[in-house]
Amino acid sequence: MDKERKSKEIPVIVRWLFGRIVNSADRGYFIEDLKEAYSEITRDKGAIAAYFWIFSHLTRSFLPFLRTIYTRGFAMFKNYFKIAFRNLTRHKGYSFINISGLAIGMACCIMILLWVQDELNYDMFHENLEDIFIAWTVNDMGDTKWRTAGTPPAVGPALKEDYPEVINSARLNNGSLNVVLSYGDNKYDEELQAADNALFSLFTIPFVMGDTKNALTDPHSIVMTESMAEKYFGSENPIGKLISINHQYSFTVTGVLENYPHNTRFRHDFYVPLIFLEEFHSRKNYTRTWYNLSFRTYIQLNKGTQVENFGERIIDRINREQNGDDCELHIRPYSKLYLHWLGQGNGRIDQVRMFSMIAVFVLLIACINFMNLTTARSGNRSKEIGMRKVAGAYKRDIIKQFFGESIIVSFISLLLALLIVLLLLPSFSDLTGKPLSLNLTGNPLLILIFIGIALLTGLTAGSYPALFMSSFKPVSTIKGALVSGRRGTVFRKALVILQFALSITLIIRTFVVYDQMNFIRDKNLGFDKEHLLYIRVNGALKEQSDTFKEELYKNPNILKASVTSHSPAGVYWNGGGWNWEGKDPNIEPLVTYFSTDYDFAETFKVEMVKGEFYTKEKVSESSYSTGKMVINETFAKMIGKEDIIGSTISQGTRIVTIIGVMKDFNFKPLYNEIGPINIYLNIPRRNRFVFLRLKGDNISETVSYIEDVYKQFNPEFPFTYRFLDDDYDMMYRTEERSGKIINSFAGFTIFISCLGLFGLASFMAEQKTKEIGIRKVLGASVPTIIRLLSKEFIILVSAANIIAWPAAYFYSQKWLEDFSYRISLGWYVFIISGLTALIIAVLTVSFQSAKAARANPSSSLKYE
Amino acid sequence: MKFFTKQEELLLLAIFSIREGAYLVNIREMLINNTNKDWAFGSLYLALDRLKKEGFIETYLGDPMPTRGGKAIKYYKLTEKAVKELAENKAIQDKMWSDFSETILKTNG
Repeated sequence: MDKERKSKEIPVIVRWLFGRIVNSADRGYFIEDLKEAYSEITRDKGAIAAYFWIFSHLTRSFLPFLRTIYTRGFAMFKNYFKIAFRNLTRHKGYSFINISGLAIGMACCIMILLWVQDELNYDMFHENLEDIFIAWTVNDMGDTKWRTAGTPPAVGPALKEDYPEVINSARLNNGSLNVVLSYGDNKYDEELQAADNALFSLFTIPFVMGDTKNALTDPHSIVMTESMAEKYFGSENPIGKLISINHQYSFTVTGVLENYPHNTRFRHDFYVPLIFLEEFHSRKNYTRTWYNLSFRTYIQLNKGTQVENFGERIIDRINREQNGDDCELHIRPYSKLYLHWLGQGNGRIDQVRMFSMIAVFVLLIACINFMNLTTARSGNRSKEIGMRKVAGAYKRDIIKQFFGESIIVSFISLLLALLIVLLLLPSFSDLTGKPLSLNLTGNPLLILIFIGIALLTGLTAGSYPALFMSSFKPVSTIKGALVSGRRGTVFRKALVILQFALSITLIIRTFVVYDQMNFIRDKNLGFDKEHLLYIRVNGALKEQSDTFKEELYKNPNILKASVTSHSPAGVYWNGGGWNWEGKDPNIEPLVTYFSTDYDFAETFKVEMVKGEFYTKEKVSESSYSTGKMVINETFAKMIGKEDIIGSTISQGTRIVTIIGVMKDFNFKPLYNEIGPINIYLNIPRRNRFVFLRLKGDNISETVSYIEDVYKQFNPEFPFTYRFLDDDYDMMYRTEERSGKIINSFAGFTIFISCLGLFGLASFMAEQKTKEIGIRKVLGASVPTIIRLLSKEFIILVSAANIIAWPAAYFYSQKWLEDFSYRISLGWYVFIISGLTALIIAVLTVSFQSAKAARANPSSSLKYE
Repeated sequence: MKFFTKQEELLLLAIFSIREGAYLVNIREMLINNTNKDWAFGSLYLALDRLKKEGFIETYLGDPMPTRGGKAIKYYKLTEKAVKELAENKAIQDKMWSDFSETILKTNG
């Protein structure tokens, strides 16, 4: 070997891997030897060949290496396994507590994981996802800015025309058209979505039949989902069939959509062309204006388009068209729409974060159980550890052994957890309203994640015991001193406190959600929502609502009826630009509009503050044309005049006189505060509902009477009705759901915590058997001993309360901020939650303590 | 006595025949030259390590070498025990093989 041979560096990864094989003492020499051969190959055959050479060596060296490990280390591993299983089977009670606690924790974790996964995948299946954006606007309302996804309908086409980077744009009408569809004898109330044809190419909404490109080109074409096609046409081929809308328009079926997956925001079963709105509302240019914000605009951008400030470039166009209205336009990636919306709070991501946090908490609590029980009982194993050390085990080996044991336990728990998940998943799906499934074969990633969870749990749970127990001194343990049972008690106590603090926080949170939900449900809305039934106004009813009402009043159980433009559960029809004498220039209120008839106040039981409501005698035509108006208290306060009745307000050239002020009533979900509202009388094309105030008894009879009358007026239309209070219940379902989910997890955490407490208590009772015996002999009573054994735990749980209260306070306060109408956090919530935890803990512990206290001292003392 | 595996036997014989200055690279070269088989670095090392633990070979360090950045080479040599065992192995093998070679000779002759 000549001296001038330069040694070539070998790839780091190879070096490192070889380093694993070779004893540390030999490593340097080995690498040098390897380098020598490597550089020779490089010189003779080139760098690439050398590369191949060295990697082939690496792979070929590994098999012998594995064989070496097997013979060298396997015997020890086998022993670890054997001891671990012996320990598990010998102490069945503790093993049960450990394994079931971990299993329940993991099951919770897995279920939440499935839920989170589903949330994160919501609407993520669209092929163009990365390039789809939704346009949104910020509208200046004087002192406030109103952010909404609504855009004027002209924006979409204008964007596509003016900007080459906009490949495609599609508009949707906010809300839906409520109509009756009929084909032969099949007549149903349906909701239609008006949309641009581009929707189907922008988003991945596959067709089963029909032409994707031109499905909605004809103004009288309709696209429906597979299930709807079956509902109307059965086994017939739907394409080309004529279906009628409101017995008025005849539409051709041009396409059939695949049924939607459950996790998409697209939910409409029918699509009609956007342009049809102009005909339906009989308003020319309705879909071409620059004013109306009731459209959603989605655009698809070229890849690589500069997205920041994209909207700024189009604002000019809007403001030009709107004559300098201060409207801002922005775009936002569609993929962020679901989890991060601009509305209250941060959107659903908050919930995702919260549940993920709960998942971690639950698992942590289960891990704490394991740590506590293992270290508490470490005394029982101190001799084994001593022996191992004497026989030559390093600290490292003991650590390995205990980690190994905890990982074995956590994998057993994983199997059990999967079983629990399989059992509970149907009810969890009900609870969350998501069809979740545990599909392991279709999702290898999930398996990896589960294994990851088990490993992580094993490592977390095993960390403290492994480190703690490996540091035992062999001399003292073998001498048989009761060294270790008491060591680490401080840490153990801290863990118990942490456990209970987490549980109590969740309990408090549950209480707060329930309180708030009850508060909202029972909140006085400003009108009486009980026994209010409503039906849709369509067909002949639109013109004959008065005679219809007369007919209804013949039944004494129908007290009053009123025609309205909206349901008071949500009035989304508004406008700005109102002026009045002495108006503060800094406010620009967005006024909600509501159209109804003169029976509104009586039907909904809303009182007047000043002036009077419309009456049949005084006003027989529309208030829009007569220029008279009823407003609410909030608006009156905003105007701020003493003698408001008779004063005028104006919008542009239109001047209206205020004839009455109504008491405030809620016309939006309770996240919002009551804003100003104008109540118009009779704008017939706006009339969409009849609300009926019923007497509380014989409801079903009354309903069938209403149906009969309805059929007389509208024989062509199906009769459907709803109760208003059901709508309110629906409105807060998301909150109620999340409340229920938190509730069940709070239950799990407290259960797991108590399981751990139970284990600790029984262990302590076992340790103190002799002490208890002696105390009893010396005259202690059973209650004294129970107190002695339970005292410590009561102190711990009380300490947990003190930590949990402030944490829960901030946590709940943040959630409540989303509601305009909210409960104030009462101290009793905290006290009750704390007491609940305390009582459960005391019951758990005293069961064990009582058993120990009642034992006959003679049996515990007779040895030695 | 211990029966060496073929690999161990070859390794020991290679070290023996190199005598002074047997180290991983030239041991492997020798094996390759005589067997026409590419021997993997790592597995040779592992075998040597095992033999060392069992007391058949010893290692010693040479002088620091400039080509190795001032590091020395770890050389291998046989222990007496190894030589003795090798001899015994050979004796047994010869005995076992002799019949084979006689048979071959007979059929050929």
